[in-house]
Amino acid sequence: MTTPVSLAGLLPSDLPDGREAVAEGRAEGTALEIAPSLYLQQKGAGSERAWRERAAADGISCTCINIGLATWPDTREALGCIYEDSLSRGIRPPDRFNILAERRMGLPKALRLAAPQETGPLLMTQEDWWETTHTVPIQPEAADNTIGGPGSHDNAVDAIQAGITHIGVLSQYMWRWPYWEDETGQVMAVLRAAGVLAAHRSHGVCFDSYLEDGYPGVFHDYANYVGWAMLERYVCEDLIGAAYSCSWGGLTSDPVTKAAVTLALRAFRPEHVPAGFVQGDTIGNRADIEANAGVVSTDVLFMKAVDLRYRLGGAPIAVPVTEMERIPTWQEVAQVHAINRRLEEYLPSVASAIDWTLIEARRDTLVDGGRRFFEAAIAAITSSGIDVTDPAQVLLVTKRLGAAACEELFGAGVPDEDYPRGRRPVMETDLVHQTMAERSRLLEFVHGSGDSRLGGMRLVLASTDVHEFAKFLLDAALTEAGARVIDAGVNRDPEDIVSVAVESAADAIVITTHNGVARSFAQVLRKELRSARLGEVPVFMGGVLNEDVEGSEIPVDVRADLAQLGVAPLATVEELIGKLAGFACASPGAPT
Amino acid sequence: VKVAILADFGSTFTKVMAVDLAEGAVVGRAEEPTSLGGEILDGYESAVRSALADIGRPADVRVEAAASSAGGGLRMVAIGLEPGLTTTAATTAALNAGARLVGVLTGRLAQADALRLASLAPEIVLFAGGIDGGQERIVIENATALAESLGEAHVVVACNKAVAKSVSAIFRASARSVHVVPNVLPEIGVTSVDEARETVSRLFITEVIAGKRLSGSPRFARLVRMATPDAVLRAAVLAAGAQDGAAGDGIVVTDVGGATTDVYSVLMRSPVSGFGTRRHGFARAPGIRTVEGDLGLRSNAPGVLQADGRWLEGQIGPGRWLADACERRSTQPAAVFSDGPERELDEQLAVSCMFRALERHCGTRSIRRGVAGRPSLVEQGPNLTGCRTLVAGGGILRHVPGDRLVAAALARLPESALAPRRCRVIVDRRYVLGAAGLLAQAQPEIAKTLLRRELREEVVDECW
Repeated sequence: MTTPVSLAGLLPSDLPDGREAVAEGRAEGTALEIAPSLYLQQKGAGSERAWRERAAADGISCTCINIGLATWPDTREALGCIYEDSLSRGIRPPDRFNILAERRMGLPKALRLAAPQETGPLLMTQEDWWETTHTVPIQPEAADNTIGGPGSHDNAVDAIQAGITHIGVLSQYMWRWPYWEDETGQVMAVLRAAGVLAAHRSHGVCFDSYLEDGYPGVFHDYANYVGWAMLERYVCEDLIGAAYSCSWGGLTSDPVTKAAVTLALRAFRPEHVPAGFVQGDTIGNRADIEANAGVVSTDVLFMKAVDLRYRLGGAPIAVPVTEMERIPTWQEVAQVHAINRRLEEYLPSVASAIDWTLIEARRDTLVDGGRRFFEAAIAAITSSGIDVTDPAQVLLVTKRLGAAACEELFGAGVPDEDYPRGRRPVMETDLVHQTMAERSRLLEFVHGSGDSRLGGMRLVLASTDVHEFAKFLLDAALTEAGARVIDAGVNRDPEDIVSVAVESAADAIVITTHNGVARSFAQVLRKELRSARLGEVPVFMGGVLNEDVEGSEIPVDVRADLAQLGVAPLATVEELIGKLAGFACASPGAPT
Repeated sequence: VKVAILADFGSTFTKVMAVDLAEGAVVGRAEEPTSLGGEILDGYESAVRSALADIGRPADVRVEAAASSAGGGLRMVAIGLEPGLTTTAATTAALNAGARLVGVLTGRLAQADALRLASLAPEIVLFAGGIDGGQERIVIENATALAESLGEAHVVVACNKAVAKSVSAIFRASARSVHVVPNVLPEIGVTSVDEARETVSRLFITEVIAGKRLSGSPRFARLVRMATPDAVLRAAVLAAGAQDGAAGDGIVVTDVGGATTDVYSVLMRSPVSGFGTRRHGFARAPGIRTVEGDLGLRSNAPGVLQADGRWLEGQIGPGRWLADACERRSTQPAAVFSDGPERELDEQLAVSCMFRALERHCGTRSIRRGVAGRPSLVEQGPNLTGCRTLVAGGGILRHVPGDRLVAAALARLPESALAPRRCRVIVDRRYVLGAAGLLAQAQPEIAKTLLRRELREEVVDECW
């Protein structure tokens, strides 16, 4: 049995009551009126949710686009062009678009102009907001940087008054904004904004999330994605009283997996609020741009087939084939939108040939796993003395816990030390799938190159940062090669590593680094080793061997400096094992 | 009524408590000055008679046990290789066994360390170094360097098991006795101090206490079961479990005395550090005791003034009087002040002692610059923020308003201190902790009942 853990220390002692912030927002929201947008006037619906539910029932496919040019006027103009383009092609224009606002939008209005400008639309005035719903009949979602940051409340009020009825992004409460350190204030602003949305639940206003913007984006297990969404729904609907909509999808390539997760994310939500959008595959595209047409077609076809068959009322996004290389132009967005519409012709035929029972079985497995995650999280929060009915406490404690800890503590998978987070995923994410494949490849390499070449060598292994995959792979390969690996942990300082080297009489030290400190770290480590009279212990370093330096916009390569400092820079795990084996043979004192 | 007679031989007072073994309740108590220099049992027998008379009905004494800190306590030196690793583990084992730690030696030891060890004249030396299967050479060199300087000490060897036998052979020639126990740090991240602590405890009873010549009777050696702080830590462990979840992550105990202020903490659950927080240093044992040798109400009152002078001046007012009053306390440790400005100063000194001792005992969370000047949120030391129960002991708190003093000390702790928050404060008015720790050996369930009953009854306030 593992030691019980406690989360209580993650909360400040002076955290205000989140329910009061929600109540304030709700009172304020009641006084606001939703102006009908061009799109909703055209559809004769009071809200996007109302229209989507009708469209789903009638078997009408909806689409969404992402468009975020450098400024709002550029974006506004592009929207007009895309709308005209659709009409000229004779297809239905996009149903909706996501406003991918600039990061400053996340700050309270009063602070926006003083903060450094970045790329993306910035909506400063009520006129700007009005234009988002009245330029063309394409319904906007107030997405990135609307709710989540310290400026959440200002944005929620503006968005509602402009006639936007899907407003996000709940999961962005995880983000940090420049020049804003007050995490408590940020959570309170989100809750006040959520209260504004809750006041309009009966008018069809939805609080949208995009899972990958929060911890699920780095989760290892899709079941935990689903569990996390259950947690978000609990906070949003049961504690705040707003309607929860759950968008997701950008980090998944496999169409069958994507179909199962999409269905699982709907299964546990009693009201089946349509997702704002289902994001297209953003990781499948490669440098061969023409070939990427295959990625977008498969991805969109399956998303649409699922949507139609189960009457989800979602709106799939087709990802431009050039997205990996540049911010797409309006023409590139219009082109994939045309593909999105064209694929609708194939849906009836394709959908009838898909094995839905397989997908439904996976859905059920994911929902079961999700429930385990959710229940474990609620149990741990409750048993830590945290008030699980206060949305501020739940949001802040999960935020401060971090993605890795969430999966390690609450994860749906069974304990299994062979996996980086100590559990075998119910359904591996793409990232984990790749890592486990790499582990198998390395273990095969070790077998192929002769067992136990490092027989009994004592190796201190440490990471300079939080990255776990590299250390996980190194530990597996070096142990398999016969070394005794002494794990000094992640986030280690040079002094810690030297202490471990002394206590363990290390034969060598292996460092993995990804946080741009390789040279400084090596310098301090070498100095500390010398003062501990361990100057002769060899040090190997791999990962991202660069360093942030003043005067250079990008980190500089420091491999030559490392070699000069007496730290061997490494490109691969195979190279490390080869060098260690050579050292084991050459060193008379080393075990054989 | 069947009772246990539980005693504490302190440097100044011998306190005796009669506990009803059926009810787990305190039924009688008494105290007498500790008769040092004469027969220590004289004062004890007199206190036992008073405690039995206090019961008011015939009593059948079924258990008789005592803890002792008389005669200078248990003088120990802890030895390890690296601060934060084996040195910390050895220190924890010694302090948890109730030792008065007179010195800590760390790193590669040489002649100067050997001389220091000889001058410290410890009763027990705890020798650690290397994880299992790890460092051998330096550990052997350290043992060799110290072999001639052990004086009258007993040695407990708790180092890398691969060389424990060799180390024990090196010490055997000169030590009073040598005892090999499992490594206090078998692996990085795994502290295992219990066996070392038990061995130290046993040596204290069988060897050290007899050597102090406090009594001419063998009965004294039979009575004493452990060092006083050992009993308190055992009780804290028990109390944390007896709180039925009300203790939160665990329990914290403070004890303000004339010479020192002790803090004990027992964590039953591991607090989780937040995302992006770096844990500085390595994991420590879940139960630890720390002793602040410069914070006390009498012999160390000047130390308190030095550690917390500005705040004390703010309370009492600046001027000579404060410094003089602290100095007076150090020269008249037996002085008792029941009212007036002297009593008020005692109370403020107690707040200072608890505040500073908790501040040092608990971990911290702060922004620090690391390698390449990168700032990060760093957490170091024990995280006690989730402990929901604090038990405060010390004579000064026994009379009203002990709870107020504890609340004042807690309120002074900054947000960066990983100290208990939103905790219930319980004043141990009847010294029940030490008694329960003694009783726990033979009758753990009765000891639990005693703690549950006594500590709950003594709830005086909630501190938010």
